[in-house]
Amino acid sequence: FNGGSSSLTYKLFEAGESGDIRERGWGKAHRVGVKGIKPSYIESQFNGKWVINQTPIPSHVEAAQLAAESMNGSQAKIDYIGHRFVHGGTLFRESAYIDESNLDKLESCSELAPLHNPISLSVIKKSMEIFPKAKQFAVFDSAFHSRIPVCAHTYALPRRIVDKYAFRKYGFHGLSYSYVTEEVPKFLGADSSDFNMIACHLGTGGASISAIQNGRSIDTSMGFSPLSGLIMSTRAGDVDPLLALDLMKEKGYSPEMLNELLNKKSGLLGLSGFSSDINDIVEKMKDPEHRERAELAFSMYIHRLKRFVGGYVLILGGKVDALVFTDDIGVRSPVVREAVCKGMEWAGVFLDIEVNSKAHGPEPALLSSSGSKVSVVAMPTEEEYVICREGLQMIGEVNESIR
Amino acid sequence: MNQSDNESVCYSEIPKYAVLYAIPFELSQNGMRRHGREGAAHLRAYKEACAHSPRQVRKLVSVLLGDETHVAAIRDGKIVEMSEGYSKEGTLISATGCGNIDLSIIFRMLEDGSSIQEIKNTLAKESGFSALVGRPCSLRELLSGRGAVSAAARGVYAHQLLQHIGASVASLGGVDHIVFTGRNENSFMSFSRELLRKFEFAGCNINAEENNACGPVLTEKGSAIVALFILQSD
Repeated sequence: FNGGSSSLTYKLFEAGESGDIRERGWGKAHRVGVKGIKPSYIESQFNGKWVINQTPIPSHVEAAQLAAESMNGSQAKIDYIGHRFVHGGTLFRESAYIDESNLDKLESCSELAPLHNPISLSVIKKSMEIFPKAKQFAVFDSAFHSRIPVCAHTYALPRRIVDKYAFRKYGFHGLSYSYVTEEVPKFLGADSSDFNMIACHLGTGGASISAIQNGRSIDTSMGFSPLSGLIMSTRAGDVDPLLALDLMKEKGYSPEMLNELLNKKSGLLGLSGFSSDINDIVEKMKDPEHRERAELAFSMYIHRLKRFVGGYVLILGGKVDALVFTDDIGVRSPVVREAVCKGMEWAGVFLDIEVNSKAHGPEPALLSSSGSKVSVVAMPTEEEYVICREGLQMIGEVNESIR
Repeated sequence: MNQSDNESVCYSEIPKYAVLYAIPFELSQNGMRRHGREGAAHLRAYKEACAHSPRQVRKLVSVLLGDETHVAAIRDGKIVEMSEGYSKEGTLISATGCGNIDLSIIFRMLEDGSSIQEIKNTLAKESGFSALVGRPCSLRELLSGRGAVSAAARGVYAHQLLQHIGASVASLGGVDHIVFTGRNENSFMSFSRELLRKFEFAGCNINAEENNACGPVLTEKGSAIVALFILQSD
């Protein structure tokens, strides 16, 4: 189960004796808990049959129920259920089995990611109720970044405050980074133990970027929460904290209002004034009425990304083997990729503009020109696959210890 | 012209996209944006580079090392990018300023009952290198400090500074000159050399003179990137 803020994706996998993974079916609940004009629905595909069901889905709990029902037809006996959990804080640095005994611990992580964690938690609880015999485990988005070096994860705040609130850079989109970290060297036929990359996870909601050295995250743009870093659809990314405090004072905003402003009304939406979708914005750059604001939003989105890429190039000492674009926008937007790569020749990035312009996904694609020192790659991400792989690894370790 | 007019002239060529935050556009009016503060010192670094470099100065990154550190990208003599934020505290860590932090940190503290003024005070006066080493600490002490605590604090500072330098290079689309401005002390010069090592991949050949005896130039003849260390003016 992979719960987004307004969706729930689920996949059924079958693991063979040799550890090979086969996808048996999938489903996705859309517009979960969204009050809008368009209706909620759930689509699924099991046994080769695609089913779509338009029905009210007021919360992720109902979505989980509908998901379970959609799987009934598959006749599958479900042994393990893996859940994506965004923020494990310092309590969960790696994947863990979940049962009544540590549910509290998971619950105490809620306030670390108030927009994301409660959703996963509600799905876990429902899933334990529907599938009492299956073993449940959680895989944490923050885990991939748990070994970021001290110099990169430390906030220069007084120790008493840092200790009290466990303030540090946690980082997110770990499942996605974990996937591209494994798949990109494979795709390029390179040795993954000596492979550095800068990976941009550009989603339709959240977006982040990571510097990955020999399989390990050494820095990432999201921090204590998923609010910081890049400019996102409605999230502001990095903003001077003193500016935020002055806004409260001058405009009389309550903390809740400011939180809402920075999470839901900023980013591309706040800059453009008309859309949170980068594709809309690119489209409107041709429209005289919207051009100015559309261009501003686009140029800021790209500029922020380039600043991070430049910083990470230096942090990696210039040894960058790949610049990777993933998730919806990363894989499907040639315009964004071209703008990011423009003027990056100093870092060894040479994009094949022709090849790039034709790559809209969903297949992985090599986009750099043949002489480029850095391979530019568009790689669709597979978070559910990573959840499954993590689960198999845990099961393997348990079996190992019994033997 | 007064001081601040002079400053705003220095920064008049910065594109709008490099100055605004991604908050609702209407709120960016009334000064809710980045403000350059050290334009004159950056332009002095540019002039020094022009005077001492054997090469034409096109794309230059200027780093002012101090209790407050400032980075700027200068293209053909015009500042096009800067590290400064809305406030003095909100970008690179300083002797007591927090640097760029996740805004959820503020929400967490507000939720827990801290007032705006208390938080401001913490971020501006109790953070930075001083918080990292656990006592009042200037950049001079940070760079010359011994022991694991100093080294760790220096690591945080170097990491953030490097990111700002890299960001400036990205904004320029490359770099041919890097100028550090700082105190006349070995620790400042050796720290600058340490940062320059990260540019070796781009053909930056650092010279062997550790004592800065060969003038302000830190790189070998023929180096693809020319680096200089100049003394801050008083």
